[in-house]
Amino acid sequence: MASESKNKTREIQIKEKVYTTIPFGSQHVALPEPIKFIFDTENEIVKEIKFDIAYVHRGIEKALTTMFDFRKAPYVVGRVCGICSAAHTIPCAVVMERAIGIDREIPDRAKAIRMIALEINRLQSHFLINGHLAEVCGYENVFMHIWRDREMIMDLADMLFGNRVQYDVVCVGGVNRDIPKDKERVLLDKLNEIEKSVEFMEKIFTKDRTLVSRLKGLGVVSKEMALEYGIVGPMARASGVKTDCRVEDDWGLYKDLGFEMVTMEEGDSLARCLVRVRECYESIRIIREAIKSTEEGEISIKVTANPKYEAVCRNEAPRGELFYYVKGTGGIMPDRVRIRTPTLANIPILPEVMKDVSYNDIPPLLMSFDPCIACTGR
Amino acid sequence: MLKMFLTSVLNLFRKPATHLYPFEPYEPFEDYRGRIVWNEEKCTFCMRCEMVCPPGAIKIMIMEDDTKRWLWNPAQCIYCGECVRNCPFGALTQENQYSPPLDKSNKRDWSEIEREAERLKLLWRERLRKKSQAKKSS
Repeated sequence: MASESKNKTREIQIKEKVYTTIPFGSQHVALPEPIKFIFDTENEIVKEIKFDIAYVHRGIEKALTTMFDFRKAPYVVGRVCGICSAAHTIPCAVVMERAIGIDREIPDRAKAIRMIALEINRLQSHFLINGHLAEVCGYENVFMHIWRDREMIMDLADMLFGNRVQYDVVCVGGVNRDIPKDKERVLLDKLNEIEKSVEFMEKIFTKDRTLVSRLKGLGVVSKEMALEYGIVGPMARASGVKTDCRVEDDWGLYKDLGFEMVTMEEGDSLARCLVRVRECYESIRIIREAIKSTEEGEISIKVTANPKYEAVCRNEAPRGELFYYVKGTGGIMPDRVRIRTPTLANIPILPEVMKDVSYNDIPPLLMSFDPCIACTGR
Repeated sequence: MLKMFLTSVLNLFRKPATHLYPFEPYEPFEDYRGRIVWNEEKCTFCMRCEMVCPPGAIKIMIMEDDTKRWLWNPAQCIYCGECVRNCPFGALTQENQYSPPLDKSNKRDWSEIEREAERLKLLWRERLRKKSQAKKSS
């Protein structure tokens, strides 16, 4: 008798609609980076979401026009974000070269080393976010496996460029350290090992029942929606939009090395994850080709002039299109610098996608969009 | 199931993936960008390193008796190696060892040093100007 009445009260409770507002952040123990969410929920279903992203504004754009001269700019913007440090330094150097008018004189070897730095950066970023995605799904074992393999890539960067996180290898006019022959050999050996761990990752994300059933069909973004909201990077490519700045604005040798774009049609969280995994193969291939195609030689040219033109550079960061704009006036510091980060383009679609999703599906859905809050705050 | 059992038994005898730090000393890579070492004999105090340093971690103090001091702040340095590459006399080198942690013995008030260096530099410029004026008049 007693259990029956208990069941009845539970049924009544479930039938009733309970509206709750859940504030989350800006500083929260569970958040790796400061972002503020306000979830309006009906029972367990999220109905409305608000964001606040400018909690960690550091004024780097202003600093570039008032404190640091253009030669120091790549080192400064490397500190915008720890995960995509090389992805920031390269377009900054390229845009300064374009503003000076020397971007066509950069030696091929320098371009190849820039490409290697960017692709190593992309590999470690994709490993990081896929591990995180497994973790928020409650699959900590995979998280530890992927992050253990990521350590290999970090050590590779340490060996080549002298630091695990901040490569600082790119300067205006080229790069500032070459990759000698013996290191090239170690790099090629390590790439084989990394390829094996990418294969492991692909196997997990395509065959493992737990992850596939958790992520399949979650947060579907159709191709029309992706085009309408203008999302960028692997998130757009997972919805079938063919966009990649490595092809569209080629500052390196991507066209010469035959770059192939990875796209998928599904547009759900699993597809976004798998696009990232398959891009790792492409990155490994590009590093191999870049080493093969160039020989040791001149790595930088002397920069004598100041930036005097207006210039733009678009670079494919691990999270999508990264945009740099510089307006030079012939002085040692540019007149205006603008940085538009990929996460800023990917945020407007989030409230649309997260609507009518169960509250416990929000973490994997958010992680599949790969938000980088430090970049967005700048 | 058998495969899983084998893996877990074999894992008992495998080495851990992490580094057992205090028991095994950690050696940085050969080309690691570590602390900056200054060679006083080669240095001419041309101030090039101070000019190119992105965070301003190098300061040169010109005392009132025209002696000069080279100061480096390991906590502000970003270890990019720009000073080493730009030094025309090879007075600066970069080791592959980590810089020592800050404690009471080596901690200095860097903002005080920056202010003092700026003040001394102004005085030095004033002295130079007076010297050149004296030369002209004579």
